[in-house]
Amino acid sequence: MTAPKFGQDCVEIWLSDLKAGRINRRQFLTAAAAVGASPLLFSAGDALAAKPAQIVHSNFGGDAVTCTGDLYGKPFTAETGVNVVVDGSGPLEGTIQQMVEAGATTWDCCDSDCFSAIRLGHKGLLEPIDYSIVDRNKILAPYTYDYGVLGYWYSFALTYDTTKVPGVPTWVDFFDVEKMPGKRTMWKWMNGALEAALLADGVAPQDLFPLDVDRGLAKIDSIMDHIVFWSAGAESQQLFLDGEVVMGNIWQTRSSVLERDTDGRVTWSWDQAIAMPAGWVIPKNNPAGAEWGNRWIAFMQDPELQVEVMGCFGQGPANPAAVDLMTPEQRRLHVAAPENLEKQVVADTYYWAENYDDVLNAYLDAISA
Amino acid sequence: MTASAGSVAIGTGGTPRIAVSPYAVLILPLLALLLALYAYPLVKVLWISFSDPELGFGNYEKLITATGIRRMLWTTFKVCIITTSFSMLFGYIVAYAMAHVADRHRLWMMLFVLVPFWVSVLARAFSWTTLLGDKGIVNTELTDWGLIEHPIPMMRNQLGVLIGMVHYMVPYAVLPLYAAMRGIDPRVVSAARGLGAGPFEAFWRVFLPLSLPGIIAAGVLVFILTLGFFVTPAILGGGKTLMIAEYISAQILTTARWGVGSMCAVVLLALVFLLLGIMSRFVDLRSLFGAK
Repeated sequence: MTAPKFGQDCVEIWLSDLKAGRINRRQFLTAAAAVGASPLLFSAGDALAAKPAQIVHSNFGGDAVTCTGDLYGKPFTAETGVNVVVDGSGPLEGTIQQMVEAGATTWDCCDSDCFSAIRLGHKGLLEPIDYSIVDRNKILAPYTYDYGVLGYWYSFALTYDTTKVPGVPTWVDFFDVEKMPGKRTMWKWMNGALEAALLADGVAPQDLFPLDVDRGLAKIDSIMDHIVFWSAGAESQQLFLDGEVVMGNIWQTRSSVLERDTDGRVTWSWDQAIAMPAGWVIPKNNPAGAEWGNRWIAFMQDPELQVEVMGCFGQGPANPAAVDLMTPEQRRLHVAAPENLEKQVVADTYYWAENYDDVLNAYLDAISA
Repeated sequence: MTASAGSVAIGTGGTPRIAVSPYAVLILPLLALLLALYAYPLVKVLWISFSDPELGFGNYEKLITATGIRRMLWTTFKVCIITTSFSMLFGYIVAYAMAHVADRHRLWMMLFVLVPFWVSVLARAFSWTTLLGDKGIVNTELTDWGLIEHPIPMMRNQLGVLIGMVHYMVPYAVLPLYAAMRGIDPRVVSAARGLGAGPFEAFWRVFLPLSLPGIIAAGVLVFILTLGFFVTPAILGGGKTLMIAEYISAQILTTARWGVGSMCAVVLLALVFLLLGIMSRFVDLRSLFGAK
């Protein structure tokens, strides 16, 4: 749920940007030119598998549809002659499972958290990634999986109101309501919360996983009266704008928007932010066939396109080469820019693949007690 | 189900003497459609609740063994009972007033009941966030008047959920109550007064008992509807009020534990049928749902 929700969130940000006139729609020609500059293996492979009429990419709707469709989809069509349809109805795990089990897969590629890709893969609901088509070298190691690849990044960063919090707070301060009074906000759907709680409780980043869930929940419980939980990204932003919270564990894309909208009153720290690798999966028996699903993913690995898409709705590129193409400002905002990533703690995708449902239920139980 | 006096007992009790109207054939296609699109998926949900992840009563055991599920059910129950009580109280007052004012005023009152009734639940929940927040209109005004020093936490907690839900449910209480009250002959209250009862006694011993079927019908209706609340707790609860609808959604879509999610859905459905069964002992369901 995390990655799709996050994807949707990026779209909301971009939508508000567009409405406020801060950005304009990048034209197809720019993107097509960018593609032309990068060598791709499509023309050679065209003869191998029957060419489908279309590729259906599933994400969380709104303008992620436009960004994906215009910046990845149109050049792909120009290159291969295969149309790209972006379906914004939301590839939640349960939805993919339902679709595949009913023998009615309609998606060729879906946005997904990497841990979710492992979970779905174990359940036999995904096509394997074909690494003769998808290039491992275009993905930051080690985030390539049997049933999915890293496609983009997001992060849960400690975001704070500089007028109410002196200095740069840490997770220890986040959980110390005596030292820094005021409400905090965390995600209702857990990711990032337990990691932050355990780091605050003195667990070293390298010893974080496997998580000591009970200890983390106890830490959260210790300041429960001071926490409000956000569920949608826009809500986390509103809490800061309304001055209802002084600190928050929120998606860093929201933090950067807040920083801009409040002229720096609200900002964030990369230190010990919880970075989340997310990406793309191919549901089992996808209509265009596994090979074309893989080709579509391979196409989206292009670093220039990834930077374009980041400009379009904030999705942080997975291809390490993309960092070199960024402006300094883009680098500053990018989760996986080396100087930012080294300060963060990356969530263990294998741990979450194994434990996500149990721990989420324990967390929901604890926070709604 | 037992039909109350005055209703025609078609199809109840299975007596062979009942003549089926030839026009009944006309509803057969609809019936078939309902069976295919409604009954079949429901049976499937029932089946999943017993078969995922393995065959047996494992999911239902969780009702007893899993403290998280028990607590979630308890929260749901508690919130629904409180919501129903307050909705009924406010609804009764409004309906009583509506039944007793002049026609012109009644029209206006009806309008003010129906307009919020038609507004989307999402819009209403978000409207409350602008009123109830720490810097919302209510807290700002109270602070400006010097009545309070610190904002009162009125949302992102259970209070917020209750305010939002009661507000949503009051029209659902008013409409059946009003219908029931309109059916009460006003002369019986006058007669009670004429026989020496005070205004309160006439209400307490005559009007209130006569409106009892309406109270039960509205109460059960409101309670059933509150059981399925999803949006309001999600928006106004600050993540701390987890009710059954949201729990089911999380199990089906997020953690993909369909067995547990289906089990909860079955429990919810069984509870609704149980309540409808209880209600049918007091009122004619067909009249309540507008079938006659």
